[in-house]
Amino acid sequence: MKKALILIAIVSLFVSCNVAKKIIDDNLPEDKDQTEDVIAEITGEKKEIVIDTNITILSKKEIKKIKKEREKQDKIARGDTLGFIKKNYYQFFPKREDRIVSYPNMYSEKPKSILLIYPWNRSKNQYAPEMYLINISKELSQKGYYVVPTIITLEHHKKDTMFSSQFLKAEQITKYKEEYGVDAVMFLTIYSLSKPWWSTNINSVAEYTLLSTSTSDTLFYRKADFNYDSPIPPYKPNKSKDTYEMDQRTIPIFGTCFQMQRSVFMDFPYGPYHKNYLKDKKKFSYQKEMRYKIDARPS
Amino acid sequence: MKKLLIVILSLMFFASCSNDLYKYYDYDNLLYAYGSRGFTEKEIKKFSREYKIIVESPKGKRKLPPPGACAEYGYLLFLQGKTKEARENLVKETVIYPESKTYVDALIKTLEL
Repeated sequence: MKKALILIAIVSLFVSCNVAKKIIDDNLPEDKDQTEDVIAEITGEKKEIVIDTNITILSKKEIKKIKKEREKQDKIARGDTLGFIKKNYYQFFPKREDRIVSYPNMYSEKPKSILLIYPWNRSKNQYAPEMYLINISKELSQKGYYVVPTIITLEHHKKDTMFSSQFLKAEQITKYKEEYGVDAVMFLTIYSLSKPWWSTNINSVAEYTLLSTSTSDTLFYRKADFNYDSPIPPYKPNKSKDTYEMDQRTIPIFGTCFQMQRSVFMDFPYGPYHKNYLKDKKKFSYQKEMRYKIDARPS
Repeated sequence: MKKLLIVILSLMFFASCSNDLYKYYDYDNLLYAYGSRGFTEKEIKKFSREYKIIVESPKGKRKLPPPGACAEYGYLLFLQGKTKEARENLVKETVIYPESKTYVDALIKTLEL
């Protein structure tokens, strides 16, 4: 009686674990193969043999050749078609390009108003976005554009009603035309804004992209690496009676940011409020990626 | 004496040749302080007093307040509860800069002015 009970218990355990079914299923021949075989027998057609991959063993020379060809194709895709000598020559003696060639969309779309999106701050400086926003809005206004007030950008960002440049995609910007009535939107990524304690140099790296809100085209692009190394302060704060004074450590960093915007937007086409609006098409323009260095240390 | 006069005159001449379209006075300090630490009600009053100079005594080539200055001043007045003056300044912004009409109208709506 006891043995029978143990046997029943074991059987019920196996059944509950679905072990028995699994064992039976594994031992059964596959249905799919069988049906395909039967169809092949009836129709008289041969079963197709599928080969997954073709493996060909190449020699070292052939691998090198393929690598070179791929590199060539990549270079052509990047637009890097200049030879070694020409490329190095242009590094030292850059080719002069007119603004109409460098920023054709700025002259065809003629933006009047610009919205600065809260920058994507990848630097270690907590207040770098504020410094950039203030200085860029000033610089663009002086160039003759209408810039949406910085306080409003800051307030919207504080209230979480505006994304920073990090989370926005180019396709989404058309909505800013309806919301703010602006013709262009500026995205900004700050990579660094710092002064190491062992050096007198202040470095700032940032990427600027101005996009049209009507066509989403890039109107202006620049990546700038700016270095300021001089005992002359880069900026003099306006000292009125009743002012909020900046922290002494912040002043040189803020000043560097100010100087950087001056250099970055030096070749920016003039806006509608400037007397030279649309008259600067044949003036010089810098390259898209620029390195600026103000080095005036006493020798 | 003559030389000194010439130097002073030339200095005055160069000083008047500034290419800036607008004068910003103390804008950098104020806005940086506002952005980096936020203000109490008392400080906002002080801040708007400083801002008044930018709006009411404009200098520079255009002799107009810089873009956005009137709207910012209006917003600060709203924060102090001066709704009538705030509205006036926001409307002033649209008169000087018609491009601002879309967002200023939206701002007036959201602030219920």
